[in-house]
Amino acid sequence: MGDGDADAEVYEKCADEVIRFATSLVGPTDAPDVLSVAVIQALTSSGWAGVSNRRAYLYRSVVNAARSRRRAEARRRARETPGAAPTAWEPPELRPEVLEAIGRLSVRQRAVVYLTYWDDLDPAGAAELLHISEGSVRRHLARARANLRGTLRDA
Amino acid sequence: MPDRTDARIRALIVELVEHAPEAPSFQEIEDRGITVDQPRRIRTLMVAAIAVAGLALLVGVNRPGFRGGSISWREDGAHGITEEVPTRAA
Repeated sequence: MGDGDADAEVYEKCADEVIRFATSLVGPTDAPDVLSVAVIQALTSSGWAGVSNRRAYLYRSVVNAARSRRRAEARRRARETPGAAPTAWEPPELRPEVLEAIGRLSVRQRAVVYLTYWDDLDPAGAAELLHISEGSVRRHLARARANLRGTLRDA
Repeated sequence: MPDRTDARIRALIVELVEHAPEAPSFQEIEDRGITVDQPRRIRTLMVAAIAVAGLALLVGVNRPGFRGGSISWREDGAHGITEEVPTRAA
């Protein structure tokens, strides 16, 4: 991979926050795996050496790894049990309502919800971190809120 | 939007994130990277080898004297590639 010491320093600095972020995207069970894949992909990418905001780059890499994981799972489910409803993650002690509610959101919606409600970022801050437009952040957040409002009302 | 929904969503995220596991160490990730990189390197080498073989085949086919996968061999001895030697004008 790249410059080992410098990369390790960057990672150690934000490891705790990116594992929390990964947990919000894929759940506690898959989070370490997705984070590992994301870090490997970031460090082996050709553009890593020239990246100015490496923390943001890692966040985006985690989103990409989570999306790939979700697509792969969907394909596997379709292959093994065609027509089956998506199953929730398998975390140990979480309430099923939490999983069900979050499981209804897309990965991008989860990312935006996490950054808004956990990190208290405004749409501009979330947009900068995820490298998407502020309008996209607002759209994802609105859809996520609408989705969660319905789910939480049912719960 | 009622504030109650916001409070519920925040509680939901907090509950989920509080179950976050410990992050893998950089060393663990690096070790894993090595095992991931290995097959990728082999795959790259294989693709390169196939590309070189394909190129060699293309170059070979396009050489004069190569027709349909066989080289013609005539009885009168005029087989092979005949080269015209440029003659200097008098």
